[in-house]
Amino acid sequence: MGFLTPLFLIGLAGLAIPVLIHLTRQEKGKPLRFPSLMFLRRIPFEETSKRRIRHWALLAIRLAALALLVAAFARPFVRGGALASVGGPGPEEVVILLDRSYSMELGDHWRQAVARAGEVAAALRPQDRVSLVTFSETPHLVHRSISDPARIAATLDTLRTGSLATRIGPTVKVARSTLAASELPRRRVVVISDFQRAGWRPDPDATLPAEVTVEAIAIGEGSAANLALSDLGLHRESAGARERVTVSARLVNTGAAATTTEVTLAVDETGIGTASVTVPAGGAVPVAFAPFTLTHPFTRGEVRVAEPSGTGLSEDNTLHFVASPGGDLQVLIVDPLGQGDSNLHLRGALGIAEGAGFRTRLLRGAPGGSQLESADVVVLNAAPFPGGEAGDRLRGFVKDGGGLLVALGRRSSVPSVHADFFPATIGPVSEGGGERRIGFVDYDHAVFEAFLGPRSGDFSRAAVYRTRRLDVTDGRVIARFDDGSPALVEGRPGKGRVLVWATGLDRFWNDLPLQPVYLPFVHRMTRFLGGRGEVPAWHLAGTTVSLSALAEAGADLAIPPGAVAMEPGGGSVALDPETSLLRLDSRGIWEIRPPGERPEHPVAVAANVDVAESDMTRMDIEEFLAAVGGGPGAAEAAGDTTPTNTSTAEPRAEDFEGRQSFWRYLLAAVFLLMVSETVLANRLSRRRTDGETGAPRPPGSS
Amino acid sequence: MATATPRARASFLDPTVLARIDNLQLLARTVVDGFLQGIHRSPYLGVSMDFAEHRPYMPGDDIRRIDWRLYARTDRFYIKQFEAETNADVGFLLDTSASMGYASGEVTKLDYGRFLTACLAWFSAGQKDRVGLYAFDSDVVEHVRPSAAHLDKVLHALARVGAERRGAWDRPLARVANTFVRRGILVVVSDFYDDPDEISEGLGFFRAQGHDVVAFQVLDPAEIDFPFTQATNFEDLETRRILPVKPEKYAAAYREQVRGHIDRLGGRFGKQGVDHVLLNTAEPLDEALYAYLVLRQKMVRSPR
Repeated sequence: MGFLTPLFLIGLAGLAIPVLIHLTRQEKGKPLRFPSLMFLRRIPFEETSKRRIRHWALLAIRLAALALLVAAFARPFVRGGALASVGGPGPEEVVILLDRSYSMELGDHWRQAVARAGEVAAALRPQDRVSLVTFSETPHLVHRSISDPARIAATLDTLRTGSLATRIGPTVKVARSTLAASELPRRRVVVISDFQRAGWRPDPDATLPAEVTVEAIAIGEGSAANLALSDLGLHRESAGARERVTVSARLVNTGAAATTTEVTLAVDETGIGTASVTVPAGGAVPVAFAPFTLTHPFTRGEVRVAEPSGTGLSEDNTLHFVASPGGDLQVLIVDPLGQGDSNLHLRGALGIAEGAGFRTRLLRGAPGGSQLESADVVVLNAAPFPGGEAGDRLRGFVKDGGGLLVALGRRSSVPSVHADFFPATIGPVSEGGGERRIGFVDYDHAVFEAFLGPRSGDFSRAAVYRTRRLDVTDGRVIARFDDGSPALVEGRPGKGRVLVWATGLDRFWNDLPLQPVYLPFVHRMTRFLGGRGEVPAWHLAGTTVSLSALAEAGADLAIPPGAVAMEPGGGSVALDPETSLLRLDSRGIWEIRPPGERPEHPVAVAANVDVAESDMTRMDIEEFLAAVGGGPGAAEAAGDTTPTNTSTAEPRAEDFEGRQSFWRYLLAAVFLLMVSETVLANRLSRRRTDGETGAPRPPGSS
Repeated sequence: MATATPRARASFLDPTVLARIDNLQLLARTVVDGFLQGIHRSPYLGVSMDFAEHRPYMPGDDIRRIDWRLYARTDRFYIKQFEAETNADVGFLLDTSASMGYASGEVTKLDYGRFLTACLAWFSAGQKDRVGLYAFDSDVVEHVRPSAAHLDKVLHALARVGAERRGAWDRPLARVANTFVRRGILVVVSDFYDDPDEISEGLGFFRAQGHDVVAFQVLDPAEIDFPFTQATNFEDLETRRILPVKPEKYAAAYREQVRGHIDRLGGRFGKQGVDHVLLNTAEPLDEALYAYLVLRQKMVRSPR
């Protein structure tokens, strides 16, 4: 038994008031001033009778009413026993948000979180309803508005932490939508998490209505010693016909003491290098291994740090990668007119490359069959499309999967028989009217996606003096000049690819070769045409990758028909045959292969955890609660939140009192007592008057 | 002496209306003039035009009052004298003890006495009487010597007095006896809350001196009717003594006591030749004015 506002109990001193009134009522009245009392006989009142309480029942009723009134204002409540669950304004809808990001595997955090979630569910009354939402990168509504705490408990026993990072914002939105569908009068959201700072970004949409009470149950201490690998990089370089890869990574130590440990590189599950590393407290050191040769496609590798068991997180101790040997692209530059200077910049650009590069040949004449067979990409730099058999061969080369880059010049032309082969009709030379610049590029295209980021290349700095007008017939414009005319058009005849550049690749019609973007631009166009797009060695766990887009970028990544994605921990995920979208929900190597088949080198994709999750620094929970909004419970919860994670687990006195609301019953009792007092006082007064006046009493009166 | 009077219920005689007039001179003039118009009498009723006697002309007499017919017959100057020229001193004794401050309605007994005194003073001044004032409680607190030119002083003194202290009769009457020496009229306005024998004895002294004395006993209706019903503590305005009283049991006895006091007072005054007029503060002033008018007429008809 307790009182929410015990100071009101001082009002119990008022119990003396009715007694005093009974004893002194008529002696303390304000006197009536009168000219002279010489005629008034002094008649003392019946003081002895006045000072004797005659109507004990009346006095008792008045005292009881006053005592109950005082008790009602003190707002009593009961913490335990059967009365603890009595009353309340109505059933409650509770949404439990349970963090199952990989940081929750630290120590016994996950066990604590599950226990707290179970306690919240078990404390609910039969008329309450509860929803369970687990979250990491994305929320997952496990149970929606059920009134069976046993099911919640059973589900909690089956849950485990994942490989993904914390993102609280989307989870709050799910809680809001869940509560919006509820018709129960009281609503509460309980967030159970380690509240990492990296997991919360203020989001105006991630808020809760004011009537929702938000409780934050913080798990853990807000910091922990941990070793984490990050920044995995693969440096490729050509070594003859082979390609060698140097693997590097960074080892981060968030502990308070320096740590010496071993970092191992394994390729195809075979360790090929080990480095002993000492990481200072709160510091990081780079780790690099000796290069190894890529011998087959989808070579799998992993970098592993040996962290003492029981300390730190295990998910961030391993980084995975998948790499395939690329080899040099064979580029055939056709220059039938023998203008060597016109290819100077182009050949120079193709001669510079890291890792898998380009082997260029300059052809003085129409390309022959053998020459095309050994070529991956043909470049017509200001040269006409060959006619006759040569043209047919070139056309066949492209349709069979070859790449053709046509940089237009004054002599560029396309025979009418091959006009349908081109994505655009080549028009006359457009000159005069001042220089033009590249005004638009399609950063979604593989050629330009590398230039999307800031300071990743500025095409608008290149001045263009002359162009050939392009009338697009069956192509996609992926770059335009600032006057809106097409600058680069892509065509897909057959299995091959064609890019038509409306101006030259030399310095005669523009100064692009003098710009920094020239070299990567030429490289990316050539790689795109040769089917050698960049395939990431690994992806962040939790992201969704398009396998078809990866296959388009890399010629070797062909998705076999009927393939499924085999999860790193077992199990498989069916792929949409059109989009081939795959969400990498867990860390490790994902294999894409037809079910039941075991190819020697199956298509594989690597996924690594987001190391931001390894930072256990806790966010400001008060700030979180203020940003999320909700009712008064939010602020109070924030005030109670302590690093010892016992923040709001204990029900508050306000909760008990608000649920029980005994004061309502007390006021009702006061009302009834006052009615009784009025009736009794009237009867007593009437009886006394009758007795004094000697009036005959009605028959039957006592 | 309770005089039966016609009830001229004019609003200018209503005490509650008069209580809203601050200027006592205006109040008195309004009341007296209105009263006289209501009874259709001459405003100079006291100034009789009846011839009394002749006397030889003396230097300084108003030559307009020379009887020229007698001069024609006797060749001597004679002055005509009339009865009304025997004007008197009128002394007003106003009780200002604390008990006079009581009011169950809007008008206190002191206010009522103030109005009455002002009206009578105005009336007397109109009769060429010399008016003076003695306001007293346990002593004389305001004294205006009787004079034909002291009406304003009387009115101003009336405006100043308040009912604050206990009252007594011995000392004030002794001081009045020392200063009011010429035969005249003494008008006593009080609630007479004292022993009737003592009061009548004091006023009888003035009768023995040849003064005409009229006693206006001013009482509040609540003092007469005692309308209280709730058991209450009563506080004496003068003694500040508090008495618990159960009115429903003792109201009748109280009324009997008051009636007896008034009757005893009237009987004692009658023996002493003092006119006694009981006034109710809820009643208009005309009864008092009539009583005074009768007294003044009596004086005129029977010159001393």
